[in-house]
Parts: sequence; C-alpha cells; structure tokens
Amino acid sequence: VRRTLVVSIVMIGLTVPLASQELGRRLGGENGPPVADKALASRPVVKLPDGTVDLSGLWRDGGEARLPQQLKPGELDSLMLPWAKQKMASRVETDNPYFYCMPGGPLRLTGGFAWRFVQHPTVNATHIFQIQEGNSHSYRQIFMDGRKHPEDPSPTWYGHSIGWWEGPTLVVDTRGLNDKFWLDRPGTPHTEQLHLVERWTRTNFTTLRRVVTIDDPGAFSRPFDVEFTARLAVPGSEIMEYFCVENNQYGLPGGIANPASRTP
Amino acid sequence: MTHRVLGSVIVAVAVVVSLIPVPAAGQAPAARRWNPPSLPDGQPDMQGHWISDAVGAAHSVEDGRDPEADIIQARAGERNPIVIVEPADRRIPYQAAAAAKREQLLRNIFTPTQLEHVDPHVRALLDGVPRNNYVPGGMQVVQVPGYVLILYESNHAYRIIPIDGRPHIGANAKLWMGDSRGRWEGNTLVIDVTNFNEDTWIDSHGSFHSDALHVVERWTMVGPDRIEYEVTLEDPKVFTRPWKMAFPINRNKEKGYEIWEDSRHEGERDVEQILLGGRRDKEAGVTGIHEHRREAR
Repeated sequence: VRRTLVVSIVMIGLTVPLASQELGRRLGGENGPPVADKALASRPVVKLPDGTVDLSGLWRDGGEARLPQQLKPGELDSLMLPWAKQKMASRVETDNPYFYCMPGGPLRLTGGFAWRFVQHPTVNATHIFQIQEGNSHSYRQIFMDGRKHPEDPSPTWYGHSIGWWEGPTLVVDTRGLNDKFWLDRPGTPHTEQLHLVERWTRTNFTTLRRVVTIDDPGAFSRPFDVEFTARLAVPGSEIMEYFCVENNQYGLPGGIANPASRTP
Repeated sequence: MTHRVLGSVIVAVAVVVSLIPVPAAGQAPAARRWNPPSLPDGQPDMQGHWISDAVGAAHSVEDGRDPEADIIQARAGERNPIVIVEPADRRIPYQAAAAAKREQLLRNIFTPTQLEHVDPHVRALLDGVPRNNYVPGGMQVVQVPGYVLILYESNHAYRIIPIDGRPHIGANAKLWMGDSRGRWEGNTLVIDVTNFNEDTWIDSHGSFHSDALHVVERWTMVGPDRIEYEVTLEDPKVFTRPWKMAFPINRNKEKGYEIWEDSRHEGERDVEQILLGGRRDKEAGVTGIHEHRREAR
C-alpha cells in the first residue's frame, strides 16, 4: 500500500496537467480499467453471423453527462419549460438520488464506471444487457425480439427498452422511465413522459458513438439530440464488485435523509 | 387427488434417484442421462429463466419456512423441504464457538436493537452465494463465449463467471457475491467461489460464515427444464466439516416471463421499524430466541 501511495504521489506530480481526469478516476473512487490503446482502433469491427455488429465487451463512459456541454450555450435553458427551470434552480447536489445508491437511469448507467454490453443469445439476440459495475451494481435489459412497449408501463429507473438494428446501428427506444433520477449531474429534470431514442454505432474497434434523442413534452419545448462516446476498456479487463449500499457515508450515516424514501 | 399422489410418488422417486451417488468423473447413470443442446462455443445450453425449488431455504436452510408464519400467510401444509443433505442430521456443522455466536444471533433476531441484528437481505444488501439462488425472484442464465452470466431478479444482482480456467483474484479482495470461476464437466457447470466478505448470511436464521468460506456449486442439467443443484460449503474458521445442500432448479415456464426491475434499496424503511420494535421489546424486558416449533412440522 505504501509503495502504491509513493508511486501515486510521484505520478500526480508528473502527470496532473496532462491526465488529471484519468488520475482522478484512478484515485478518486472511480477506479476501473483504463481505456484500450488507440492502436487497437484499426482492428476490424466484428460482424456476427446474423449480420449484426458485435458490441460485446467492456466499455467506459458513453453517457455521463452535463447536458449543457452537449448543446449550444443557453440552448438547454431555452428548451426547459418554466416549471423545469424552477425545479432545476431548486436542486442541490446532495439531493441527487444517485448518491443514495439509486440507479441513475439509462444515461448515467454508462457514466464513470465500466459497463459491459452482452448480446443474448450471441447470434440473433433476443435481449441485449448493459451490465454496470458502479453504484447500484445493476443491469439494464433491452428487448430485441420485436415486441412493443406495454400500453401503460409502470415507471422504473431503467424503463422499458426495445431495440432493433438499422444497418450497423443499434437503435434503443425507451419509455416507462420514472421521474426520480436526474438526467445529468447538475440535475436537469424530466417527467414520466420521457422518451429516449438511442442510436449506438461502433465507429471503430475501440469507439462507440451514442446519439440520444431526448423527448419529454412534460419538461422540454421540443426534442433534442445529445451525443456521447464510449471507449473500449483494455481487452481482458473485468467488472469488479462495487456495492454502493454498503457503508454509504453520503446518505443516512452522513445525516442526510434519502430523498427517495421521504414520505411524500 | 390421484394426480397429487402420483406426483408425490414421482417426486419421491426423483429424490431417491437424486440421492444415488454420482459415479466418478461426473457421469450420471445412463437412465438419467440427458444431453442439452450445445452452443456454438461448445457450452451446454443452460440459458433461460430458472427458479429454484428450495422454497423456505431463504428463511432457514435447516428448518425451512417458519410454520407459524405459514399460518399467518395461509400457507400451512404447503411443501417445506429441508435442503441440507449432508451431514445426516441436516444441521449446519458449526464449531462450538460459532454455534454459540449463531445462538446469540437468533436471540438478537428475536429482539433486534442494532443494525447487525437484522438480516442483510432485509437491509437490501447483496445475498451472496449460494443464497441468491434460493431467495424469491428467480434468475436468468445467459451464456456468451468464455462466460456464464447469472442475472438475478432479487436486488438486480448478477454474477459474471469466467469459464476459461483463469485463477481467482487476489485473496485480499473480499466481495459480497464472492469471486466465481466456472468449468463444464459434461453437463455439469462447476463453479468455485471464494473471496467472500463476512457480511452475508446463508439464511435469515443468522447462519453466518467467515471470510474463509469456500463454495463449490454443481449445476447439472438433467432435462430440458430441470437442473439438479448441489452446493458444498466449507469454512475452516466456523464449520467442523464441509456440508452440502441440494435442490432442483426448474425452468420458469411462465409465458413471456421477464425479469422485473428490483431497486431494493429504494424507499427501504423496514429496518427502522424492526429496530423500533426490537428496542421497545427489549426495554419491556422481553427476551427470547427465534426458533420454530418443530412439532408443527
């Protein structure tokens, strides 16, 4: 441990100006596998026997968001309905349910911690899973068997997701989301009318582009697109166990009531 | 009624058959042999939704469900199998000091006053292995080249089990779900699980273990819709000898069944009430131990 500490201190001194984000990740509680070397990007993207793209593997990032950064200055503000603006202004970081070990919704699932795409079965998949290392140590399922959304889905943290392929792009359509999670770190609000359409494209071996159309007539004046990039983790990396509920000092033990369990 | 009797006979025969020692090299007797289809990478196909038959084990692997709770829940008379198959007395072979600690836990469960007196399952913590296999909710098995994944509905827990022969992670890492390494022996998936923390219970009777727990699971496919599950637990710090549980795991044939989202920690308020009740009882001088009236069985 002592040796690691010394090495870390030396590394901080050497590399903070260039790679503070990566170091922050390694030292700041978001330890996870580093992203794969850029040299691997030129490897061919594998196609499965059914003609679809093999997305399987361990990925980093691809969604953790500060939505204003994805848009023109002031654009998000102009899209928010008045109540949403007021709600946004009233939110403080300590109210984010994510910090109380709640699932973060489809966008946050791919933020910060490593996650794994699993196509099941491997060929002619009927399900695609996104398995998250971090926070709630949970998973999201995407139905690929052609089913429709239920008429009146019970709102959940990950919603009801159906997917299909458009050429090399996996399209994921999600409804039935609850309004409890925050769309991004600063706390952009949404309603249960939220409808997400994600378009995942493996642009090269180590890169996944994700364009998300955010449509919520309850919170925004029109649909808008945001774009994220996921990077392949170093091949051979694995998800480790991260279990937020254990000894979380941020919530109840820290004297802050869990907003998700407050009596309405 | 005739059907039910016939069913009981079939179950009895199945139990007897399942107790016949399996010959060496994991070869099942010819009469029972059933070969599942193979996946493109050669793995026997064990995929799909499964649900264990070990009803009651999550409450107590030694006693099953509480008969008094069964009366309250209008379940009196329902099957309540005991899953321990070894040792012969079907009790967890605790060392003396560990048995005393477990008895104290059963007293604490009767009048809980501290967080540690409440079942980790109730506290929305992960169930660990093997408990996650017999808590309510079932599981979906997913196989990809090099891995078996088990996605549990309960607490949305999951296991990613490499089957490529790699070694366990370093001994210092202590995990809720442990570190699983699998291999196929014929139609049996053998999973070796180590690296446990000390914080999970095997059931809600305070059946604790230490961080030296070593679990070996054997998932044998004996038919298209049935897995014979056997698990050996050894823990030289608290058990006198390795012991075994066995029960069938059946395919969940409910049409269109999908895992539902279980965000267990959300709005968890039980613990607060349990502790309030326990402390009130304790202040009123109530003492006792959680135990089942055996004659009721």
